[in-house]
Amino acid sequence: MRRRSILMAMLLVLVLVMTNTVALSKNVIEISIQDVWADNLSWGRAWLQTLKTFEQLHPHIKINRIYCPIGQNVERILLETRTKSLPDIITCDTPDVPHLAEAGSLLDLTQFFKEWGKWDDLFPGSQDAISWKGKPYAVQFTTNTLALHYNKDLFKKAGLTRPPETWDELLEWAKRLTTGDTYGFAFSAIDTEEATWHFAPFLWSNGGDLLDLSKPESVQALEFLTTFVKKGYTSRDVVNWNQGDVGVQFRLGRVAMMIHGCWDIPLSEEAGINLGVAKIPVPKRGMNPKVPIGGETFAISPFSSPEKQMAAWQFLTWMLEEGMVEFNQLVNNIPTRRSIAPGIIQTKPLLQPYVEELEYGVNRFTVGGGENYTKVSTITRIAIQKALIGQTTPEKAFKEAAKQIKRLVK
Amino acid sequence: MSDLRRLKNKYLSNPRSPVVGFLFLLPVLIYIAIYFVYPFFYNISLSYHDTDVVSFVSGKSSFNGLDNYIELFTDSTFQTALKNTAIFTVFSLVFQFSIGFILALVFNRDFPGEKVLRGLVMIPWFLPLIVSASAYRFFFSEQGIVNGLLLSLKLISAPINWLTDPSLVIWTVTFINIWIGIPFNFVLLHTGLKDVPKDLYEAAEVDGAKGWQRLLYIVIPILKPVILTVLMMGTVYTIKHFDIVWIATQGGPANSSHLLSTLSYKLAFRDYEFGLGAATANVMVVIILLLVLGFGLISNERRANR
Repeated sequence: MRRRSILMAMLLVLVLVMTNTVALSKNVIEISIQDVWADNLSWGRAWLQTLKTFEQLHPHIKINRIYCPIGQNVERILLETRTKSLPDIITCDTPDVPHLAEAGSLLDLTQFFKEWGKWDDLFPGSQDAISWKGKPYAVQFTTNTLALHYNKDLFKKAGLTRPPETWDELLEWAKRLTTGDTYGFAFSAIDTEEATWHFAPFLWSNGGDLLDLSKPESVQALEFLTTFVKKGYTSRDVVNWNQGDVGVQFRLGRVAMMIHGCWDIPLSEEAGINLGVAKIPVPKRGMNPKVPIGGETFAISPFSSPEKQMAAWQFLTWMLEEGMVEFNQLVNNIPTRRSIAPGIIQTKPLLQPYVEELEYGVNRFTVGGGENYTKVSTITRIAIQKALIGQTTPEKAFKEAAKQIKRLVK
Repeated sequence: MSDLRRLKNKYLSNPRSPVVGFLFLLPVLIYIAIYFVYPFFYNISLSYHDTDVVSFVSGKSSFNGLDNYIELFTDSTFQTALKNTAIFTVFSLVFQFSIGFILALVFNRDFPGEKVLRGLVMIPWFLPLIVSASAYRFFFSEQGIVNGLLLSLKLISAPINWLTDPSLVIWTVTFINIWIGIPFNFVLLHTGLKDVPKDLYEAAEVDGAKGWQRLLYIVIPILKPVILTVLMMGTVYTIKHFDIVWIATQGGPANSSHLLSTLSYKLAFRDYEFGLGAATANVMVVIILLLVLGFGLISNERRANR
């Protein structure tokens, strides 16, 4: 008899607990988000903080994070698409938007953006970055690009008082800054997207074109960068350096000027480098550098329920408004809206060149072959590497690459 | 009713019945089917299809026969990767094995500090590959310790581009792999040597056998099964090796240091050419299968001779 009453009590508790959770889940919508920012790094911490702010302001939405290392992110999205088990929000790097849109991993956001009504306030480059075949498929609330970072102490030692503005100056400055163990200039030329990304500002500012690498303006850009390696102003090892490695060499004082992005600024400041930031030098004075824009984009799963899709959109629009300021302040990146971006300079003056450059920001896949962009990029960077290590001349390298690209993009 | 019971008694209650045995095997068989057999055949089918991102997700890729294989074998990057894999495997095995064997012979004698030194030999094996390969990446960089040492000894006048010279880079990564693989060979051979009966040595010594004769006529014949196992495992490990090359060079510069494994990964997951990636992996599998069969033949022959 006693045993039975205990059993009954347990059953009762169980029923109560179950009804309780059912009741709770009626009010709270849980959405999941797959992102690429590890918790223990500054980006992850900033992200967690921003998510927390959102949840406090919107108690009826609960966000579950799924962290995925950036190298496995696209693979995972493809598999999740195949099994229709995509999280409600997914993160993808800009160049991946076209083929993920083609693969059916991203929800068409045209209606959502129409209701939001502030599309025109987004930087043109950012608009391109989230669109495919004229339709928006993602949201971008944080963007970045490349600029010239330089070590002011090393400049002083070499008797230089201002950053270089033209290509000739960049070469001259690099020559004067190259001493002993220190290289004047560095960029990343590893066989990953980073190489194309670092090369793009030189290519585009000179009037070159990823889809027409054999034209003189394109070849000149590669010849220009090859000169630095040939003359010893840039280490040959750049073909093995990713962006992180370039930053490390800069902070070790082994590199005086480097191409890098705004997210790297805090690292150099923490390391005690007397950091200067300038726009990327252009072929001739008075030109505007045409820079590639980057930054993760966020998309909604087409497989989620309409209810969850609405909650996801509510979160993403919040990130396009209040959340945008908070998050970008924390990670030292640039807001994607023209009306909001300049505000960040007040607290972070070093970001000024970046905000100026973004007016002329170019989205890579829009000018680089659309869904074929990743292949175009692969071909391009192999050619860049061949020229940099002197396996062939810049002209021959790009002529061959142009032939391959033409076969790809008809 | 009684029929059922009889059947049950016959097949399930009797521990020696094949049905019971099969039931015990079932979990493993299911596991192998899901995680080995299915991916293996899926990979083969993938390599005969024109599979890109869209068709990978939809599962509707078009059959293109041998196109992937033809494209691969006419591609210079694949040819380089094939050549690199051969260089990498042959030289890694030869040096790993011979150095490991010499060390095993040295440590087979008792000498002061033997235990400590034996522990030290094992260090490369204890280190995670990401650590050792990254360290070597720094050692062999333009301003790295290797060039620094050679320059200060005046052996070279300009830094050698260990990891950025396309004709040199595969040798550099092979060197790194040799260093990392020695302990594996050493341990197995050392254990094998411990099993050689001491009285055989003594008998040989009485008969006046010299050192190399003892090695050739006693040690090697007795060690032969161990040697074959070490070589076979080494071959398989080395052919499908991925980490060192990926960490040190990512197959670069300009695709000059790819192995079949890194090329396969790059094609599938960097370039999203799943068909080509699968075809590359299959070429690797075929090579490994042929070599393992070859080893099998050698060891069977040995058994037959006995």
